[in-house]
Amino acid sequence: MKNNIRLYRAKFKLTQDDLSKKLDVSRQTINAIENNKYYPSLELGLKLSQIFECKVDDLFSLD
Amino acid sequence: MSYLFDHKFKNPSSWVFYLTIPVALYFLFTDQFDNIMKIQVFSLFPSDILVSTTETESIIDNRGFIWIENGILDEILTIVIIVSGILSSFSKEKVEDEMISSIRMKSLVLSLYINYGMLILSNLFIYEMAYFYAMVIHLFTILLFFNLIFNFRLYKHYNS
Repeated sequence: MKNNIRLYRAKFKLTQDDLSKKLDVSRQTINAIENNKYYPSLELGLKLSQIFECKVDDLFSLD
Repeated sequence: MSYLFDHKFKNPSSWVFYLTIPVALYFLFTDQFDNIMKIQVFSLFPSDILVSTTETESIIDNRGFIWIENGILDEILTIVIIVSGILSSFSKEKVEDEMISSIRMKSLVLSLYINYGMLILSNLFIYEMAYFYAMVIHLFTILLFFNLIFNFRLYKHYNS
């Protein structure tokens, strides 16, 4: 699975730290998600799509 | 529902856990458990059914449900290690997010595999009273392995 979170984060001018605070997770977790070391839960995926005002499909896709 | 303890317990319980283990091992290997803090304790189960060794000689032939004299240092150290080990292992991180939960779960599974793998090896290669000691030690190593693996993975996670 790949994701576009880094792209969307840059688009919304958010740092990993900013995004982690919005999601109530650690900055390292955002980093792990961006580097495909951790696949977030559906709940976190939906929260990300809410923050980036897009569909979950736009953020995550299968290889 | 989270079954985890508050983060404030983590550091103090870790210190107690890691400091009590060498103390307990010292008393175990120097065979001093039965000589320290002797008091009357209530024995539920007849010990002669379980095992007969020089250590239990004084309480052999009791039939259970009676008061016997016993050094309680091993009981105290057992409780301290188990309680501090559980608090240390299952206290929340400062930011307890889903990735920490995932790391915790994977570390628990790995420590369980290692512990039971070692128990199988002990079962095959260690016999008689030495096997009894190995089993007792394995009661605590699962917490120790989990603590070590989980903290190592957390260290890697926080430094990523």
